[in-house]
Amino acid sequence: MPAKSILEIKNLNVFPEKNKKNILVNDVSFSLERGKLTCIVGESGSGKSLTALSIIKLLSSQLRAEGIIHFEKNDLALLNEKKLREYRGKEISMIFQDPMTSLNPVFTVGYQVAEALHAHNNMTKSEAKKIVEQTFQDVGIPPDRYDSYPDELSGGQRQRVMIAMAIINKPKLLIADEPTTALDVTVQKQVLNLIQDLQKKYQMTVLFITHDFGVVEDIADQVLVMFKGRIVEQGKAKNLIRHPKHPYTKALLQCIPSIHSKKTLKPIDYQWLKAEMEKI
Amino acid sequence: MYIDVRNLKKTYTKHTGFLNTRSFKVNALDDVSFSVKKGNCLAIVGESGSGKSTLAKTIMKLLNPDSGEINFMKQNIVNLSSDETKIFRKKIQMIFQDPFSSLNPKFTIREILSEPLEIHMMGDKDEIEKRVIEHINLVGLSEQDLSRYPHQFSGGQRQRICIARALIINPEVIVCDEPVSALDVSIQAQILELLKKLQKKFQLTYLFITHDLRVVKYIADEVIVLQNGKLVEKGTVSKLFNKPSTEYTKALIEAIPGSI
Repeated sequence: MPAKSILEIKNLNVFPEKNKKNILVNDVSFSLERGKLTCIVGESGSGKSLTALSIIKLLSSQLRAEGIIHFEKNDLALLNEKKLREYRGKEISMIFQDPMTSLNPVFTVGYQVAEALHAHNNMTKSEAKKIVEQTFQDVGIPPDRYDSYPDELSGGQRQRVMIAMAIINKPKLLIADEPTTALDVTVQKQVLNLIQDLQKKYQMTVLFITHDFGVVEDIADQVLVMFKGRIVEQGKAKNLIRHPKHPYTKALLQCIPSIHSKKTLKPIDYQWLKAEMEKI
Repeated sequence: MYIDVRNLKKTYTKHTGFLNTRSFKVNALDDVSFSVKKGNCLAIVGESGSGKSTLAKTIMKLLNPDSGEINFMKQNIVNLSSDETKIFRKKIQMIFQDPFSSLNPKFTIREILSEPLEIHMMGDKDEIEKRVIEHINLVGLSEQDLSRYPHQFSGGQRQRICIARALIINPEVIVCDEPVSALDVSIQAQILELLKKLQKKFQLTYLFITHDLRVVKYIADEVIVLQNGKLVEKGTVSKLFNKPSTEYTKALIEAIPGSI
């Protein structure tokens, strides 16, 4: 494993337990550089979420993942449930797409964030409350929101609560699975800025999953493009968007309406794409 | 003016608190006025809760406004009788955001496409079948697809079916409520291309609801921006991008991710 990387995935395959031929993630290998923000970009069904979920073994029980997942010096794939719990939420945390369904409606948001602290640290309620309120401030929620219930908050604020929960134990790696897709654009911008600020402040490594090349351009250092379960292209984000090499990346970028001109869109010609990919 | 909306108002009562005991009024549409030329595409832009879907529903006569006028070819459609409404409905059709919930799962595509023709009594059995085949081809699907059911199609294909259903009775106006928001970019490109082609072919007028300014730039001629039920900006698309007149519009433009 290169000295700079914090996570290294080698030959990851994901397939349904019952139908091993139907490979959903196909021989995926990549590494994440410490302190950098890497995006996985792809369309639905490309395997981007499954790849992320495999890292902390959150895949549905009907799916199986095989491969090597080195986090710092340990192979996460070999750890048992009990050992993994020490990593989840402490070393590696995750934010999901839909803040409406990720919070429990019958507990206050403060209580739920404090739960993440209690799970990994031995501390009193009042100590925990102090840290939660501080973290709320970090993510831009007024600390007096501690006793609010999820339904009393807006979508953007709920996503901030989820972020607070994810970063409260100062994880080394934050995995964000389309955290802004359900949000309005202006709120999306705020949340993206927040994630970038926190990443710099705590020198976190971030793995950010998205389908939006615009978001990639704004926030990513590195980018991996996935298509049909494989990584088809990877590199420095800005460079890859300006000079895509793989035919799929090229074609996908031409599907995005421009903000500068009324250029005609070129929907992907899949026969052409197949032919091009066979040449590689 | 072809479509002329004047001083449209609509309030909802929202219930909150324990067992919905508290309530307050929400201005979903607050004195909204604008007009659309025939054959143009007007984009209706706003964030969630801005009133854009309420506006679409009032224009479709699926909701009654509290006050105001909606003039369609100089006729105010707010207080039409049920017979007049039926004639009006033939001229205006809608495409919804979610192609998964807007097609009846128990109907074949043939049944889905023939139903509007039967309701509006447009032709006998043979004529209907001919029209159905013509329209399924128009949206890039084939005759064999007619005997299949909605669940056998992908999201993009279902949206094509919804487009065929909207067009089959020869409407003049199509209200598109976020028709590409639920789709992947590659599919979005296909559907946008199709909508643009059909607009040209049939000289359709589009009212295109979206939160995505990239889509606005691509498809619309004119645009209105709604914020909390109020109209905060109206004009041509190039004016919106080059000289936005309110802070809110500026913020929306700045929030578009990426520089592509």
